[in-house]
Amino acid sequence: METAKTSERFDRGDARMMLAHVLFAFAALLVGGVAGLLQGLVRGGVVTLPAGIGYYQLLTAHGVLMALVFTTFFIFGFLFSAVAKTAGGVLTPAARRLGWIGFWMMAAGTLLGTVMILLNKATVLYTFYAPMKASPLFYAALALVVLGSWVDSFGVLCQYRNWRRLNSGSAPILTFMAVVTVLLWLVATLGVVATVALQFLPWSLGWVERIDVMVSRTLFWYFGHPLVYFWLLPAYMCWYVVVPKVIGGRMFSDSLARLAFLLFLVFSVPVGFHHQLMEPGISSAWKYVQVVLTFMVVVPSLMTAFAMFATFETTGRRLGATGLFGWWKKLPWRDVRFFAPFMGMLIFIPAGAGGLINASHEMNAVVHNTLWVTGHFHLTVATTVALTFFGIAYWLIPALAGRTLTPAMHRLGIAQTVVWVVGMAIMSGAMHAVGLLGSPRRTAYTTYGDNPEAVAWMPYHVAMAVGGTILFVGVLMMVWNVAALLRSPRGETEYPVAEAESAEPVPALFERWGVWLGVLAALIVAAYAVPLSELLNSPNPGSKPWVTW
Amino acid sequence: MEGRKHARSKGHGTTLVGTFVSVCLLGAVLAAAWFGVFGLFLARQ
Amino acid sequence: MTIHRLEKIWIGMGLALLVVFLALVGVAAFAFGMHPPTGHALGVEPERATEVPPFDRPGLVRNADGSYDAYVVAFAFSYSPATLEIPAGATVHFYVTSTDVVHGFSIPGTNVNLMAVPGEVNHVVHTFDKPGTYLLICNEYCGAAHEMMAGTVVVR
Repeated sequence: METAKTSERFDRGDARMMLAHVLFAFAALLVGGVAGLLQGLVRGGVVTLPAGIGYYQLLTAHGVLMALVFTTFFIFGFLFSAVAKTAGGVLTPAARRLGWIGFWMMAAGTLLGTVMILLNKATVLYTFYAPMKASPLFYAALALVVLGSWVDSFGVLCQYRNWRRLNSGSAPILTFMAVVTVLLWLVATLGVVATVALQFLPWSLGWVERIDVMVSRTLFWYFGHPLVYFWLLPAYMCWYVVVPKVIGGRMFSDSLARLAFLLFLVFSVPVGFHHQLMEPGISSAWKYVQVVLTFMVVVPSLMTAFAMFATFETTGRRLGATGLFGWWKKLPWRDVRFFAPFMGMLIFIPAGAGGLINASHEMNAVVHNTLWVTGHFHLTVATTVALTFFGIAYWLIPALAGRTLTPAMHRLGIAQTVVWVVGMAIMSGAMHAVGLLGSPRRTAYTTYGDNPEAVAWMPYHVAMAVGGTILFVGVLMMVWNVAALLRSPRGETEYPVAEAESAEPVPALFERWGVWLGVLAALIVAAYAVPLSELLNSPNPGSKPWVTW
Repeated sequence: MEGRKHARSKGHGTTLVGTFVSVCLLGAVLAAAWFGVFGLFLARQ
Repeated sequence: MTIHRLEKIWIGMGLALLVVFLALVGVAAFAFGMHPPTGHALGVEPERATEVPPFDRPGLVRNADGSYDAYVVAFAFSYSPATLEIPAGATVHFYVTSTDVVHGFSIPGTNVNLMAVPGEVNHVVHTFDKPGTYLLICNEYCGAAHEMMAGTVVVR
């Protein structure tokens, strides 16, 4: 049953702010994609870079633009649209203003950071590990992006608070999920803000002589793991709420979807050590504690997998499918709003498998810092999340711009999705394989002096160049599609929001945010207090700055 | 885990057996990948 | 909030699989000593690591029980020593630090893969059963010549 809300157009002022976020994201994707293409070609021995640009500058730009800028901008554009659409129909003036302030802060930070990277003053990769020291302006740029994202976050919460004031009962599910995502982001970014504000900035300005490397890494990865859930949760919003509507069905379980999000909120943060398993200073016991917590965060994804298949099966059977798997045929494969996110779901199977392996305590030694890890995150963020975001863009952009999603656009979108999956299968497949053989990530072209082992890795690197080139074609196709969406005939495009299968009441506990944030705080303290205090008290005088590039 | 019988669904108006089999296949992929790399780890010890 | 019976079974199976994984790696680590690398602070300024024991004399030291301690210093862009000669069958305790930025210390084909952090001494154990020449590479980006940072481990 269509509700009046979901067929209303966006307020034009709101839509402009949301579109600004979304389009900036795709601009970052394009520039980041050029960097990625060059990296693949260099490592595959196909090209050598001209003077004036280094491999590691490209790598820094690629990581920052893809993993921080494309993602964050798209996510906030989408989240604002979700709370506007479902929590009031139009943003409050305060929410919209916060959205613009956040946008400009993040855009300024992105530009400043990109300039510093191109000037070779920040060739430290997107993880900027100490004691490599970039220009203070680079850290300031990162701070600007993160603080801008906080302003955006407050805008989303502002809209929610306004709805809460005027309504009783559970918040609409897309708004609920947006709030969880934003709360997760605010808690997660405390780590990176702390290390940048309290450590990197004073140290890079020369106010403080030494930096505690292990503490900075620990604060970064406190942030770095929930970062990936900040990427994943908006994709899950699409899977849980949008995709069922697109396929002509309903949400499998509204309450279980909300519960899954709350489990992510609580278990995504106290797990950063699984990115630090090969580091000194943290005992095996504390690493294992966080490994156990990491495995807990697998549970809501298992719930999500079940819910997805259940939605497909229930809808397919309702449309007349029979047999064990006949319902697969009833899915709208020619609808890019389904097909692109579905390919993201499919790829999440090997992606998640790899993640489990990576986090398995001593087993991490097999894959740490090899190209396997690069293969892994190109499946998770660069396919599962990216294809889902692309799949959202096909209806979100025309919905925001007052245009239509044409049949031709569906075909272009499906073609783009196929190109992406083919390119990624080749590139990421090769990365996983050569990673198991030991080929390192984040490394420019080399054969280590024609070492036979390293020479044996080269065919895989060539395959990566092939896959990467196909992916770059995919980037160009997506950018073309975005431009085409902005020029398609004027009209109305549906903002798909599914109803729940049954009208079960949602437990009121789910919106008692104090409870969930309290549990999260307790888990963070339990997982981090002792090992972090050991690092803070360690007799390591700290490191002076190094500029090794 | 591989030998479990697949339970018949309760009456929710439709069956979820196809879902259950699908997620079990997913779990099998997870398990196979994990044990493969665990074996590699042990072999390299 | 009702949960379908098949979903309960699925989550139960999933949890059981996760418990199996955790048990296997947990037992391997805590009962059989196959821990991930770990270590403690050196206690002096990182850039002075080669002025104090044990890194003032990097290299291999044979222990009374027949095992070896290998003290290695990582720096941009090589290792000291850059070549290690190890008798086949030997059990080696690697103790690795860095005098500048974070480096990697990995021997492809083995599970030796650790982070060399300035001011810290990281430790991992490996028994070299198979003779051969192994590549030792830095797999943590450390600067402009990172892709040239390598060493050799000769096992005979």
